[in-house]
Amino acid sequence: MTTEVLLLSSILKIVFVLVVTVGAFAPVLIWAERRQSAMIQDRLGPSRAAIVLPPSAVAFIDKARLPMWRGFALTGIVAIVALVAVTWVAVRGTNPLPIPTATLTKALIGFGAASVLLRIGYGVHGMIVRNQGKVMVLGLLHPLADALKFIFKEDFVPPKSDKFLFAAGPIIALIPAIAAFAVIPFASTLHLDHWNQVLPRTGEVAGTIIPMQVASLDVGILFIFAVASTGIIGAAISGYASDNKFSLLGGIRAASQMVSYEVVLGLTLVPAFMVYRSLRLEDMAMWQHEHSWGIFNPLLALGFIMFFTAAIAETKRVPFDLPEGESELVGGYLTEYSGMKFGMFFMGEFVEVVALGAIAAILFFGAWDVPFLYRDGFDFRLPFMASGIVVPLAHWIVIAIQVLFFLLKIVVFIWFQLMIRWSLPRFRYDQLMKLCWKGLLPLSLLNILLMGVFILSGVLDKYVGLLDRL
Amino acid sequence: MITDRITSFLGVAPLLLLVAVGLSIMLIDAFSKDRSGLALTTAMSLFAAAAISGAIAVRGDLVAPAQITRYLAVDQLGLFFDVVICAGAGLSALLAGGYLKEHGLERGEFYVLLIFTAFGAMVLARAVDLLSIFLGLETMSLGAYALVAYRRTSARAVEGAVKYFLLGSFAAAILLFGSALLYGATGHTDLAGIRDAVGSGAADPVLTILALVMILVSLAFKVGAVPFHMWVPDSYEGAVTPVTTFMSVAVKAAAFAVLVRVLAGAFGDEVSMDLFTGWTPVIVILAVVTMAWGNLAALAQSSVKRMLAYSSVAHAGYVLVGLAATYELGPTAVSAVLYYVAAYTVSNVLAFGSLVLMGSKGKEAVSYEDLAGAGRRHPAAAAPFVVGVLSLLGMPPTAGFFGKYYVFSAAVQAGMTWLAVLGVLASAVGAYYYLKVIVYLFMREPAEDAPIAVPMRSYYVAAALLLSGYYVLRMGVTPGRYLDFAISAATTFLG
Amino acid sequence: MTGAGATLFVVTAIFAIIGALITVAARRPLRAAMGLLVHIVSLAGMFLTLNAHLLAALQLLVYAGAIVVLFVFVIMLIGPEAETGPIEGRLVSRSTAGALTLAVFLVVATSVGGFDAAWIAVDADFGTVEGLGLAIYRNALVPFELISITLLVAIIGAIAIARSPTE
Repeated sequence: MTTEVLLLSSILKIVFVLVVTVGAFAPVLIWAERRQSAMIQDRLGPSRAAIVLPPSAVAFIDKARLPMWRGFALTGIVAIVALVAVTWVAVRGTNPLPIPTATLTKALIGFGAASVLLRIGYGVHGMIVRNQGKVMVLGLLHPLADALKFIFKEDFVPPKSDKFLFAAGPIIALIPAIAAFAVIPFASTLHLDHWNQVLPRTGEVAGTIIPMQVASLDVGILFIFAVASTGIIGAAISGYASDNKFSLLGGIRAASQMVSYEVVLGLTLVPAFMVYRSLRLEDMAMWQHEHSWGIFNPLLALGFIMFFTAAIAETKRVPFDLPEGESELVGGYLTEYSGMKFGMFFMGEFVEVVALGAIAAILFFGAWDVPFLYRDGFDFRLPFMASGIVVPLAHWIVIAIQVLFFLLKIVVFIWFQLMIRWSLPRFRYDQLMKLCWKGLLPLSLLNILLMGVFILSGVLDKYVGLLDRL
Repeated sequence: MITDRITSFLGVAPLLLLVAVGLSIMLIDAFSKDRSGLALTTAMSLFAAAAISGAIAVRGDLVAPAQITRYLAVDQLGLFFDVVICAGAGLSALLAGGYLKEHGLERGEFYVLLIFTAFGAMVLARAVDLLSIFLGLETMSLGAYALVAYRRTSARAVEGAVKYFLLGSFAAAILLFGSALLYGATGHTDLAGIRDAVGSGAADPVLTILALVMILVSLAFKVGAVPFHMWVPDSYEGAVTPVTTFMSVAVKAAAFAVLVRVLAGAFGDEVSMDLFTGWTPVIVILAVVTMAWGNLAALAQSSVKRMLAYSSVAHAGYVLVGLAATYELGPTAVSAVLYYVAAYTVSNVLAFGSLVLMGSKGKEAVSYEDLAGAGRRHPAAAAPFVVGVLSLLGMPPTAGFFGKYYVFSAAVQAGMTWLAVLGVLASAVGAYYYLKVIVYLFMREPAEDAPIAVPMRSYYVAAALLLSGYYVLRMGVTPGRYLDFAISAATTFLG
Repeated sequence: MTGAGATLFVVTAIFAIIGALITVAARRPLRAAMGLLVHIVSLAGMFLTLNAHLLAALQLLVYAGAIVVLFVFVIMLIGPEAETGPIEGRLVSRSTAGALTLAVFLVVATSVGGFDAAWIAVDADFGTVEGLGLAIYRNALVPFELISITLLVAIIGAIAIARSPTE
């Protein structure tokens, strides 16, 4: 592989990661969370930030609506016809039609997607017209307004504070969260030389191989833990540097909570390492692609529940938001922060939420693995079927579907976290510590022990083999 | 098949037994409120470990997988120290069973800490790799720090523990630094490899000497040799008496074991031991200073506990005399050291145990005044004290006599008659404060309004005193068996 | 060591020294802790130049993530006011300590400076998770288990001292 390709692909991957996490997920998350809180409290919520279009543009949009509706109807009909044909072929087993099955499937997917997009466009255009040219995009512009506000707001620094540490705190808190994405694989490896060919399902493929992650480290997930562990210091020193009792207490709470749950966080994942026999995230994804998702293993499912609990505690969000519990500590270690420094904490928290979703998806839900999708395309084959419906796909399409599915899984986990945030009341501090040291810690140790017994007694192999046959 | 596997671990069986017992006691203590059996369980398992070690040594089942023997020696020397340490710890556990109950201090952690500290001491005594030396030392020291601070409502205990902890941490750091330099100089962490490198001259001489100095400093600290003894009186006085007993016997024995392993083992070649350029003159100076200062400082004490602390410093000096003779005599000198450590263990348990016996709830005997007249009122309770101090003094027919005899005769045979004479003189100084105990016990009456010592009634303490008293006399009357064990340990180690 | 490795080494070495100096010289305890953090992160970078990725990750995890946090935690609990004045000490003891340190430094420096050893090729699994795992759990199992006992003793000891007297 030439150095240029390597360099270029690395830069592209870093840009992709930054765009996905900081650029897309984090603002959307901010929006989603505020939106959700507005819904719960029956407020209007963050929906009023808008770009106002000139009347001429509105008139143009109004005119474009009819063609869009027609396009929607036409493509929709074609898609339905294709669907019927595909189903018929699938049930019949052979294809007597002049059009090959693959073309039919492609038509179904292509026209179906086009019709959905056109219908959405029709609706959106109608909304713009009804709002007299105010484009609000469901309030998605609000995070943008928020960011502008953060940048232009006065950057207040408490006069007696430790200025250097005060400024360093948010940076130390934000960087580890983003750095965690360095080892997260977004798809299986990309074979650059054969990007538009259908690859064989198994076996080695010659040519340039680009792993779909920024850095493939031998230590894998330990890297995430390592950088995440330095994030604790960010919260702790900003609490100290604020020269404020509430901040200090918040910082102490943050440090003790995160240190405690970090132990559990690592231990809950050990059974997963034992099953996948690797610390590399891409190996874990590949194992699950070849066998079955981790969550179908009962012990790993238990591990997942504990991991998710500990991880939410690690992000310091409700119900574990004691470090910034506003009813007791004003804002905890965030009290004195304003402007972009506060924004960085905010951002860091949301990037952590995304990272957590990504890690949970990789470790327990097959990462980029899509059911029935193999390297050569889809093969819908259920256990009772003699042969499946094979849809060969070009390599780049397979990779794209994997990336999309992975992002979808992340979204699901983010949604799950938001649901938890708005559903559960805050813990008391002693309950928090009891849950960690007397609940999760012994249980996770027991889980490791049980997994060891299963592996050594061969039960695990049998179980995995059973799942493989399905 | 499976029995083969089990027997292949026989050489480290005492260690495994102690770990198992320690963990079980933790569990028992966590789930049960009843603590009455803990002392007995602890003592019994320690004695069992001692018995197993003795049996292995006699039968010669010195087997263990190579992965273990790389770090922990399975040899007669290690087993000898196993017996000494386990016996000392077991007797201390018996004392604790009486003492802690009498003074309302009984908690489960004590016995767990005692067992694991003894475990650390045994690891240290068997360590043949710088890594295991450090780990054994730290396990032992961490446990000992916590044991000294065990009675934490007492300011003296906390003071002693803090001093011990701070200085001990420095000593550990210095040991670590020395180990790093030694590894840099020789390229080995195992003592055998270091011995080869040093003996063949492959090692960098300057770095080696620097490393040896640092290791010596930290081990002299653990032994309590002057001028690294500052922590001894305070932490011995602050600790509860059973802990003091334990530290003065088991911890010290382990420190001497590793001193023997490092000096006579790793640095046992001609050049390193040389009378002028090797480590021998350093040990001689340490021995002289330690004997002199330990005895003189013990003279000035008004507290018996503190006096016994300084006396333990002085005894470290006598042992160092034996060690200094190694360059000439080899195994004979080492066996004298071993015998002395064993004799000192039982004698010291007897002395400290008697001190424990002399106090009861609210009236702990600490100073000479506390003992005044107790001997006449309670002669049975005072008798072990008399035997104990006489043995520490080195009077026949007690174990202490033969201990001193072997050590000093080793010095004479090694051509250091003057050192032996100095040792005898120092012992003569010691006679003053040891006999003072007997004088107070039998020939003084307590002051008018002073409280009168009431001995505690405890089967545990009585058992400890009977056992240690029996061995003090046994080793004083028929030392042959124990000396043979020491000689075989020393010969197999050096031969 | 050439190219990127050498550059990384020089950079991390400079940062490590700066961090160490801050640790020793900073008047405010928390800044000293931050200096330690810089030092530790630089050391992790140095491990990377030695191809010891796992060790680098563990260095961050254990030292930056646990030990420095613990320091920060203790400093915050004791309070930001706990700043020390200049160290008291007699001239004699200070100069003796200084001279000894200098002497040790010189001895080590001259010995290491004259050191001449061949480069040894490392195994393929050097520094990897598998390599370290085998080293710890197969070759050095005894020290590993001993460390677990050491830590256990430390925990029991800490609890024994810190437990409330009423229990």
